[in-house]
Amino acid sequence: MTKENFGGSGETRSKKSSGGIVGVGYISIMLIFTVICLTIFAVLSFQAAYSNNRLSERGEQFTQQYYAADMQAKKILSELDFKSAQLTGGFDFFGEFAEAAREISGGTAEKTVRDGRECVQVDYSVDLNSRQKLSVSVLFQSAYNEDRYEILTWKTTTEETSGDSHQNVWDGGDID
Amino acid sequence: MTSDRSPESRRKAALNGSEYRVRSLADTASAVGSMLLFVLFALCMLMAVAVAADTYGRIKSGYQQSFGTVTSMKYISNKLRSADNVTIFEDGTAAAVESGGMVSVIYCGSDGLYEKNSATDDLVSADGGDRISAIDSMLITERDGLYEITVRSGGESSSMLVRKG
Amino acid sequence: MILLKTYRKSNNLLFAEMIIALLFFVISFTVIIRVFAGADGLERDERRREQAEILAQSAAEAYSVSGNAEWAVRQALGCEAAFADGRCELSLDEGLLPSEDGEITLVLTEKRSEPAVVGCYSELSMVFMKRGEEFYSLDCGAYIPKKGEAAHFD
Repeated sequence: MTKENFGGSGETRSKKSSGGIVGVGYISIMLIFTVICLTIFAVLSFQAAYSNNRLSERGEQFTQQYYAADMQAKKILSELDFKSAQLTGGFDFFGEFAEAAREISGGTAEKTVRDGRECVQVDYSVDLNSRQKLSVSVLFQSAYNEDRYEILTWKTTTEETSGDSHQNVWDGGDID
Repeated sequence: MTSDRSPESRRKAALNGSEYRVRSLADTASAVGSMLLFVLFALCMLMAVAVAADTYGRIKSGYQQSFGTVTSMKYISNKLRSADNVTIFEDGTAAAVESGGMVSVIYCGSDGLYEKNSATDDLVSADGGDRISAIDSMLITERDGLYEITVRSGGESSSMLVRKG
Repeated sequence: MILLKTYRKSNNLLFAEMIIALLFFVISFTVIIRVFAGADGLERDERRREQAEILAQSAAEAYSVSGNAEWAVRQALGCEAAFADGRCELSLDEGLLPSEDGEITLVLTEKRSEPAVVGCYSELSMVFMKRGEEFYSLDCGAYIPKKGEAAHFD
């Protein structure tokens, strides 16, 4: 009887190997593989989304800085325009306005001649951030209508941190 | 006679015939059931991995597409804002931006946005530049004192207005 | 009998392993799903904010040129905005396009400096909200000199 039953041990092996049942451990291996895969994908997804978010936050920050500086520059322009209208027709428009403009804008104001007409060129800038600023150049003249001023430049400029930070462009000369 | 019989037939003989059939059937059903469960489990795991990969791909492609469109628009708008003088090419697919004694030609090439820097005296052309980002098309038009930048990337189109210098 | 016992033991072991595996999978899957949902949420928020930023910038640029908030909205969004007491609310859909019952609200507030003797300096504030929660805002200004003869300062 014992021999008969033990005779079955060989058969147990043959039944197992014939695919009757799944071996213990396969599921655990598969599960570990799946969980690792899922974790990798989840971490990569989060990392991609997070880095994109940070990049976009930087862009947003610059936009906010730009429009804050733009508003500030426009406020200064409105004050300068008000002053120029106030001083128009005065005894010494150019001298008085140049002085007032320097005070209001914190920039430079010089009397100049453009297209045969005397004007005051006011240059001022508003900081965007530590590296960039909004540079404005406006030409004022003694007039009562909307031609009191002409905006020459209204642009962002980047301060060069070192002398050699300019772009190297071939100037068309001989190459040594 | 007994010695001629195989262990199988001997075991069969030991068991009642009908009981053996029932047990054999139960074993087979159990084996098939566990096999099916295993296959189901494996399929579920595969599906989970496929869904995860798809989600990652979607996030990544969204990131790249958004990066292409938005970055290009921001790049062009910032270039225009820092320009002394801007010349839009006739078909609107390129712009020559003059700033600080340099001319940057921004144009849409075969597979993206390109930029070429040259000195102001040079003849400018929209070719041979460096690739900035991946976009399908770009159009810059002028209207009511504004530039309208339209960028198309991955079937998605976005427009942005920038005031003229 | 031993054959059957081994067989059943093996099956029981398999089921026990499967149950433990499933439990482990459920726990880890919950965590992983949260990470995926977080990434997806971040990506959606970021795209929405980027779209809002582009739209707000377009409106700000148009406003800067004209000093007219209604015209600026028309240029940027392509829809009419009716301002009452310097305030206007627009309903937008997920793609930030004008919609009757959109989830996103764009609140525009315009402030004009008084008195506008020689010109008018004004500010436009744009706030994008989703279900009452602000997700992007931008303030911009415009200065438009008075047309024709400005006031004389005698």
